[in-house]
Amino acid sequence: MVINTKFRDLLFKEVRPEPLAFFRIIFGLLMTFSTIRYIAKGWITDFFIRPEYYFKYPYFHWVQNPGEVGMYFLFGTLLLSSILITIGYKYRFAAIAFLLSFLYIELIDITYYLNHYYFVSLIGFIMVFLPASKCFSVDALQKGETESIPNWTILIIKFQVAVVYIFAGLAKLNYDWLIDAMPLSIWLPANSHLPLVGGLMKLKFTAYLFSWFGAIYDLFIVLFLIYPKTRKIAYFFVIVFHLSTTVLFNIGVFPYVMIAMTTIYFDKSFQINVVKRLKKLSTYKTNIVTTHSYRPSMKSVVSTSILIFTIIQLAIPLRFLLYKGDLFWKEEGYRFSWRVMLMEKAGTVFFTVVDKESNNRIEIVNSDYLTPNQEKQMSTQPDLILQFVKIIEEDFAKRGKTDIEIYADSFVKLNGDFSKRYINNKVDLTKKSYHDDLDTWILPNN
Amino acid sequence: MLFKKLVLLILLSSFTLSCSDDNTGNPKIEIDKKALLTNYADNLIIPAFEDLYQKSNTLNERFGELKLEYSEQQFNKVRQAFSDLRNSWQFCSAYGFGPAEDVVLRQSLNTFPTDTIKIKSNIESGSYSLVTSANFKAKGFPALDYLLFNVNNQTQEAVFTDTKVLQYLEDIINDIKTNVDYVRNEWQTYRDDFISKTGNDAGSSLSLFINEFVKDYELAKRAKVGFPLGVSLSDVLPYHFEAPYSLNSSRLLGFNLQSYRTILTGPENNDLTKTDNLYEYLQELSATRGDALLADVILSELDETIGLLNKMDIPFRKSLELSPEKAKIEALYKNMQESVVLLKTDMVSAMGILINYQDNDGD
Repeated sequence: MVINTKFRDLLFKEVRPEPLAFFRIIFGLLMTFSTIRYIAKGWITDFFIRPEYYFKYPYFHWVQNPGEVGMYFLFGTLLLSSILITIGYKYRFAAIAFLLSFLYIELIDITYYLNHYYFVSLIGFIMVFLPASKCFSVDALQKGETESIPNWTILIIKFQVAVVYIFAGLAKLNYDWLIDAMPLSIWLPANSHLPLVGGLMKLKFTAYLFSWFGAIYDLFIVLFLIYPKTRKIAYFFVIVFHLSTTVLFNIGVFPYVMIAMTTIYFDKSFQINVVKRLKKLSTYKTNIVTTHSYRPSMKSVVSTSILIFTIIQLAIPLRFLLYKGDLFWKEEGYRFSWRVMLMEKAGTVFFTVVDKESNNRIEIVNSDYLTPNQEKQMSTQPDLILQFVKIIEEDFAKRGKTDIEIYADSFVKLNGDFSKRYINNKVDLTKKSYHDDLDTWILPNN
Repeated sequence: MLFKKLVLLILLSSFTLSCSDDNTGNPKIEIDKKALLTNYADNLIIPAFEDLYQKSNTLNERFGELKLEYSEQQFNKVRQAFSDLRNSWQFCSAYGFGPAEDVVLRQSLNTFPTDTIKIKSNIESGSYSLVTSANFKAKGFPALDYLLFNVNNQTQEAVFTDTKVLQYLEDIINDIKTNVDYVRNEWQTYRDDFISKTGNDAGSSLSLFINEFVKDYELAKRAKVGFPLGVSLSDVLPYHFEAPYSLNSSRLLGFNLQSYRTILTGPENNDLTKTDNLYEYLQELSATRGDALLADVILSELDETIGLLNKMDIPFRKSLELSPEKAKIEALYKNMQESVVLLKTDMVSAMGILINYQDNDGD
């Protein structure tokens, strides 16, 4: 009970609203920018209009591509809601619209799953519940500002950012990463064209340096950001680290997301100052309204929800422990676990359909069904391989061939290893499922 | 303070780790992607298109002479010029990026099987536009293969003095020349662009080059061997080979494989002081498969394929009718499949090349 009270006091302590307002603005700006970038790169067409088939997320098979007009509507909603979040106009509505459109787009095709999209989804989800427009926003201009907000609204963001880093760090504590400096030993030499540092990139030493530094950085950066004395230098490292990953790897806006989001750990005086200046610059003036503190029953709801959320956030990345076998090879519990840049995995797979009626063997041309992106992801991920088998099966059924078997000649290369046979080629994949009998069709990695 | 100590610790630990690792490669050789791209552009790709250009001009001239006055000797010269041109193409097909991509060179020159019904109706009607994709199957080398080789001695003179046929042949040959000229000329300016994009992202020259190389190899496997063999339909399709009328398919594949081999080993006159070919590049990346260097594994696999092809005694098309010969093609196909895995998975992955424009997972 003592802990419970202390926990509650911590959560519901009243704090200044500026840090959250600042966070809302940079989150909104980043999302505006990255949505425009996405559209400008023509990815709506490439990823959501051109493909004929889509790989589904588990439990979300029912999410359908809404078609070209629908896709533009979704991206329009995403862009508009990002702008509304930035300026804090109709905030709650905007946050919900943002979350729904973002999730919808994400859930159409698992091919494009990225940890940072998952991260944005989570922050978007959290943002729905936060009083982020109670300060320096159009809403506050109309309804008045509050002097304080409850502490949990800041803590939950700090928690979420910490989860990303710490799990990413823990995931790096494996043999390949630390002892073999893999996959950086593969990826860094590919950057030998860079000016000045190009020559260093091919050295084994550099791969080890980056691997070890990366692991230690991920594990401890949050600690150093929290501790006031190391905060400045730690943030300097945040910038250097993420900017260098931008130069070396093709990782889009993610480095900027992290550089922006880690400002949540700054001392509140920083955000208070920035917001004060921004207010002055924009001649923003509004009246102060008093905040109503939560009723006790509401406090229970909020603290219980936070508890559940944190437990889920800790449990999901650890769910891989439930599965036995090589995580990198079989990828059970690999996604949603902040495993970033952990492996260089590539594969080639040839499917053969056996028509049981005529005993004809028909080799499938994957690119007849899939885009290069989809084919690349499918080749190394067991659940996508099975989804593709289903796609082939349904296509044959449409042409009146219902009695078929599908076999795969599949080879996968993981990190520094050479490619090995991945799927048992004697097994009819139309009868297989993912978790239950994975070992009956995926060969062991040895 | 703690932080500084930590950084020091990392530096020290990684240093000791790296010292214990003796796999540092030959210090004399430096990875130099610009040198590599320059070497390929100047000594392999541009000369290949130059040769194609010359051969296409020759075909044009020979055909002009035939058109002026038919003789059997002149006709054979046209056939010869066509064969030379198509052989030369086998050394260009892998470079389907840049200028070649602009004019979809592979499809406009070499879409097969050719559509003989369409060809006949085009000749008959005399109204067609060869630049439309609808006519891709009625032009290019496969159409010439059909028109020049699907004739018997009795009717030969009648056919090749027929103005409609001559007109169609002229249009095909001109269409080939237009495309070939474009690519050959564009490479003069594209070259600088090509050698300057030294990155490893999806738009970089190495990525374009390797991707097209792998794609072309896969296509050779599928279209030049697998499809006629019936792997996708279960029935053998003898007229789906690349050159079924001239019975030249296996020879063409041989040139093609030779070209792939040269892409790996690099042009002969490469600079020994630099890593300027793919073989050395893979060597430099110390990509291995088991105990062997990946580059050697790929090369020996390619040599094995060439060896299997050389064992073919009779042309592909005829082989399908004889089961021991058909088995040889099947073995060849299986062997090429193994190379696809090595090229597409092992080589591309070892080079850390990005194929897609999509963002990767960040740290």
